[in-house]
Amino acid sequence: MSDIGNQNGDMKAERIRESVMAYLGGFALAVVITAIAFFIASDEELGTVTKVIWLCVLGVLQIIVHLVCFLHLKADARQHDRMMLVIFGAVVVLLFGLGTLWIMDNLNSQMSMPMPMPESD
Amino acid sequence: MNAEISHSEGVEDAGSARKSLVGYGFWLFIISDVVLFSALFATYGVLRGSTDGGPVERDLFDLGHVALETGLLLTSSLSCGLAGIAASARNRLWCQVFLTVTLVLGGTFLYLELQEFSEMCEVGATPQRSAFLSSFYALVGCHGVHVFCGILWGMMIQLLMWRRGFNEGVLRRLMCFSLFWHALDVVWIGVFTVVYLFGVTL
Repeated sequence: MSDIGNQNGDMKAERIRESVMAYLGGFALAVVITAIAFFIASDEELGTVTKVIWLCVLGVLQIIVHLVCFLHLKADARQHDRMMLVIFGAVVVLLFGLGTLWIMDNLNSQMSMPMPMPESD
Repeated sequence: MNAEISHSEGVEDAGSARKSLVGYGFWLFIISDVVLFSALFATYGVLRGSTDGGPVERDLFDLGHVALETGLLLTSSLSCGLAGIAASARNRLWCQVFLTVTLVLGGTFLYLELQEFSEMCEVGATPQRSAFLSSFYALVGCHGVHVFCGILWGMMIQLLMWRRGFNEGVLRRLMCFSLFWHALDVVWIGVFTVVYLFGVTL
């Protein structure tokens, strides 16, 4: 009986060690990605377009690291519903963000004359 | 003996079913919260150029300050995760220690953010100065309000844990709090990339 208890204890300790390591690994990855992003943004040599693309890629990468390592999102059958929820959320956010920028940019470019601003005495 | 075991297993099952249902519901809340933030991000993206001759991003943002804020929030996310692990090991002391570290780091983050806001207001970059600044304060301020609520919530969970130990309710609240806190960090990734890093780049 006590043997089983010990085994359980060992397994529990092993599980705890594993999840601590997973968190530390995710933290290290996130720190590295953040550092690279700040480094790229403050770099003087790179072109603007290159910088923006890099920052977008790094941002998405870091969000994935957070989802996997901190929020424990996995692509297995047990979490299927949760995964669907996250994908749905990502689609809505992208539609919202990019759609708004696209439409407003379109409106702006079709506004051939600058709007006269009413003077506020 | 047998009946006792099967009974306790039954209770366990009902408890874990409730826990996974609450977990799913809380994910729903987080996704809808992220959708709210996406509206603020879209507004900021449209209005960031409308400075009305006032101060622009480059004049206002200090990347070192933002890097420090990011580090604080990231470390608080780590210690929040460690508090969750301590709770699953039923270790009350470490759970409380890590929760305290989480909330102190969150509080320091909030202090730095308010300091940044007040410095900006001193040079005339108030919310009513331009559409860019209105949307900036709305977006970053909304994240700050979330952090503030998270800190209050975390303190209540600490108090509850201190009074009642690890009962089912405390563990469930802790799980939701941990999801909330990590989600705030994910939103902050969007804020520092879109607002600050794009701000000094574009």
